[in-house]
Amino acid sequence: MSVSKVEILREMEYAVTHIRERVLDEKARGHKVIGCLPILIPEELVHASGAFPVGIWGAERLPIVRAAEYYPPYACSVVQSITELAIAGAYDGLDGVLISCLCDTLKCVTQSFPLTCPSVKPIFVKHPQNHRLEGAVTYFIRELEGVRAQLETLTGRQITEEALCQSIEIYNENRKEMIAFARLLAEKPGLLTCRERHTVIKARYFMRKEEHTRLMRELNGMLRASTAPSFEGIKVYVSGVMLEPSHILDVMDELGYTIVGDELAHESRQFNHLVPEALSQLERLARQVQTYEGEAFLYDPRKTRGERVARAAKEAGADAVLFALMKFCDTDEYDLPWVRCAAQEADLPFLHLELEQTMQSAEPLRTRLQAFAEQLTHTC
Amino acid sequence: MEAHYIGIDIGSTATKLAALSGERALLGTTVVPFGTGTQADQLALETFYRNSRLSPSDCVRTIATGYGRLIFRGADAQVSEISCHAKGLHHFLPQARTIIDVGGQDLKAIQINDRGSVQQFVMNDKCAAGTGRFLEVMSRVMGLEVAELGEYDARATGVETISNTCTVFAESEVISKLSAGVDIANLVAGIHDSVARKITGLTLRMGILPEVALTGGGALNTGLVRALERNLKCGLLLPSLPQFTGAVGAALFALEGRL
Amino acid sequence: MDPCTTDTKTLLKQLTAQYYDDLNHAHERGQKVVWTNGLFPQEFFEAMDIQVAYPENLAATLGAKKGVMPYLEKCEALGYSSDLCSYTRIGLGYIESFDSDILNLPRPDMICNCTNICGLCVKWFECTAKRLDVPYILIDTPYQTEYGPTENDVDYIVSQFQELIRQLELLCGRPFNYKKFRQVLAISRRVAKSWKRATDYVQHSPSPLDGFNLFNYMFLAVVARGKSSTADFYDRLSEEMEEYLREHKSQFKGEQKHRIMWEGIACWPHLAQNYKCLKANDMIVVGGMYPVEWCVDYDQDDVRSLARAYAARPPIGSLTRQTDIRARIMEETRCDGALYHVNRSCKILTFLQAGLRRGIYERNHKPFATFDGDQTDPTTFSPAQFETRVQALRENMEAAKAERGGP
Repeated sequence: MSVSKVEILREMEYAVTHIRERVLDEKARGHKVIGCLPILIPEELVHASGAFPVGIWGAERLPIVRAAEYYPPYACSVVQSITELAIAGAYDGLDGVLISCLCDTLKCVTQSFPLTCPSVKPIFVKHPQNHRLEGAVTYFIRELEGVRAQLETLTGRQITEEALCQSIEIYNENRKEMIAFARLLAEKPGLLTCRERHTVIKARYFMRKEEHTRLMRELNGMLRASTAPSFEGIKVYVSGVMLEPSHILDVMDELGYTIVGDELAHESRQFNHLVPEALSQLERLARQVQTYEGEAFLYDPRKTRGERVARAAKEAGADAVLFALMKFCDTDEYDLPWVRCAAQEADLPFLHLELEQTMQSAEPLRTRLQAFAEQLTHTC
Repeated sequence: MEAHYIGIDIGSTATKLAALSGERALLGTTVVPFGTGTQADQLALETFYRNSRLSPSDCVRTIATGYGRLIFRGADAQVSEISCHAKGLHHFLPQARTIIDVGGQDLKAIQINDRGSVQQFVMNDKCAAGTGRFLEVMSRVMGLEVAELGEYDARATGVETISNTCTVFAESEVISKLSAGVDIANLVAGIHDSVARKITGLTLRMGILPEVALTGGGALNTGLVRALERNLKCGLLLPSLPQFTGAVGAALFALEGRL
Repeated sequence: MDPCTTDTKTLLKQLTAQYYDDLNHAHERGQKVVWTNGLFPQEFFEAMDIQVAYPENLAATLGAKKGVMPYLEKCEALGYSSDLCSYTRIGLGYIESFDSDILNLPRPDMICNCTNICGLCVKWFECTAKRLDVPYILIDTPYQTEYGPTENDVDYIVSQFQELIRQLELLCGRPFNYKKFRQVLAISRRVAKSWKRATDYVQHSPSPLDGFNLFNYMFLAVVARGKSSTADFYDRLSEEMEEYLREHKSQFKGEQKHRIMWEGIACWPHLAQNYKCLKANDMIVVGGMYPVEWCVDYDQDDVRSLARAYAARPPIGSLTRQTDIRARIMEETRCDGALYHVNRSCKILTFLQAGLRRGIYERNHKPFATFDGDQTDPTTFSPAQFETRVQALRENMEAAKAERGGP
């Protein structure tokens, strides 16, 4: 491993583990900081306002105590941990947050978040479910105009067409590098550990995209130049919302798994779709929603997610499909049988793991992952 | 001097050991009523060798399985309990293709092929419903020992259904029924039915291929067996040594040397 | 049947039978069958003589008549989590066989769904449409994050109506009947007003109307909002209530010591037990969301008003608006307390309930109690817990009254 690659990974690891420090640093420089909750947020608007966008997807292994004031135990752990952190004042330093309404639980978060963080300005992003219709694009453009206006008020800075265009280009560049990164790891399985792969992707949430792109260009160059290791383990394609808590990645690495592709909402679904061209920058952002197909959080009358997962898994050379089911995520719970069915039809072994971000121990997952590995490698 | 292979299954409440000869013959078994984190693994080995003509120096290989397999230092390797139960059960009942393991703390359903290889599996290790724990709680409420449940079930004239799947709510339901003077044998049958429904639900998620075998502590409960056969709508094969399926499977892995 | 003289009990039975008869004979009469959710703009279907089936209603009926377990089990066997809403689990289990002893629905030619009850139904109907291989059309009514629907929301909904019309024309093979549509708008507004008038009788003290009966009466407001016979029925109910008032009678056969708001969907499998327990504690249900929710009235007979009315349904309302509505209901119906159904299946309501309880309590300081239950999954309810909680609520309300020096 070259020193440079270690340094890049270290920098990304630092970004992921020192979020608070980064936020304080940005504020010290006079920048506004805007939190971006799940699932899909037009971060380019935040970027164009000069503010620093920071991802808010909860925290791992956080004991949930006070969130019970708002949510019963059967709300997903991402929302539980976000709420717990909010009540603890972790988000008080933020100037604003963007919250989407893409699932019923998030809809409730649009109502509970302002109560848990009264000092932080909430801005709601209302994606049109009927996204294929022109009326939906018109609608979303107007919604984004509202988001833009609120960001301008918050930051005191006008978001011009040029600034937004530039931000979209920066984000698209980052997306292209990430798509290339994912492809490289599929072509050369085992080149990075599961944890390293995850860290590289997660770092996007805690760095300015241009910084991240700079590092990605170097990293991708190094990965391209590297020879593929001789990999004897299990190549999986991961489906779901999030593959956390991250100690599951260490278990996967120990057991000889590598990730050759994913369609996790937290990971690849953030960058697989480039913002397309259109007449105005807001229209470009609005039309990006139309590029999603088989997206779990958007109306899909033909329900193509299963087939897409199977196809993508095969293209990535996966041995199996791993469905990382976030416990209590209704959206994915409805899709699980369909993704399993499609995987089986494509002769891909399928393992479904139930995860909660708050899990303290990875042991129950270890048993399942180990049994699955034994199932795949045992030639009795 | 007899070369042998050891499989040790370190569960949460008991540790089981099995020894096989090179020709796959069962040379002996031991169970100690202590589980992981209590030195039970060492105790099991000592107890076994004290009561056996075999000598520790003739042990070719040891495989550990079960909850405590990662902590035990005396094994050459560790294999998941899913693979071990599959292999062990297949050894005793080669015609089985679906295995249901009702343990004290968890519940597993495993599908195997004609060579005993795992094809798919499902587990419940979070919720007490469908496990021995549920039966423990309910039997305590009724003032019975878990070991008596089969005998009471045999006297049932009907099944007093318990509708709640949550252990806490079910406990309250059982108490209400007891106060209402419901026949205790029928209530026991109802508790068995509740556990059987949960097990059936989990197993159907995976799919059932005949023949179906039942193992784990639950297999010793004739009432539960009856309720399960009724819910699954098929007969169940029962191994003669249900507690040792995992240990035997581990010993077989030790013998085969591949995992 | 003459709605003016027949009693409402008989009338409801007749109208219910008529509804199912029309539905079951739809295909042989050359009509199309659409499956949809309860608050979908039915006006579009009425205009095209399409028969409409409501899988939520199927679930509720099967729940009430103890016929859900086979479908819940079937759904679980398919690999769906038991965490999911029980209406949807019953629906997904049911479509595997269409073989209930209690109630059956004809197969749909199309599925239509509006997001004004929740977003989870989008996934439910996706699965259903794929399984049954039928087209699935969506009317998306955005979540009201601030207070009510915005003009942008209304524009978006109207644009979706145009696509819906096009799809219905394709389905039926004939142009959309705008003339009938306008007639249906007028009828639907009449239904809304007649429903409101009838359900407002709970505001009387003592109330001639037993609010718990609304779980039954609402059936026509759900499935036949565009028919004059529905308006006639609710008008008849109002007349009956007037008679009761004159004769100092009530549907509630007991002492109306405590007037309560029942918050949430009914526990369909446990209606009898719930009612018996409430009655034993001298509690009459007078407050609840159903009157407001099913009163789909629009300002004018035009499509924008229609869109706004459907967008403004309470389940997708902001917490502030939902609190306002319930506080107003408790005031208008003069509730002494509230009973909250913490419904395992309904996340969009249950996840706001903690904030709702606090907000309402801050305004009126009325005693309240919660209980764990589910709208149709019979295994998620404990009669012992319900009885304990209701008793505690009664004791609270008695103590509050004693403190005020009241009866």
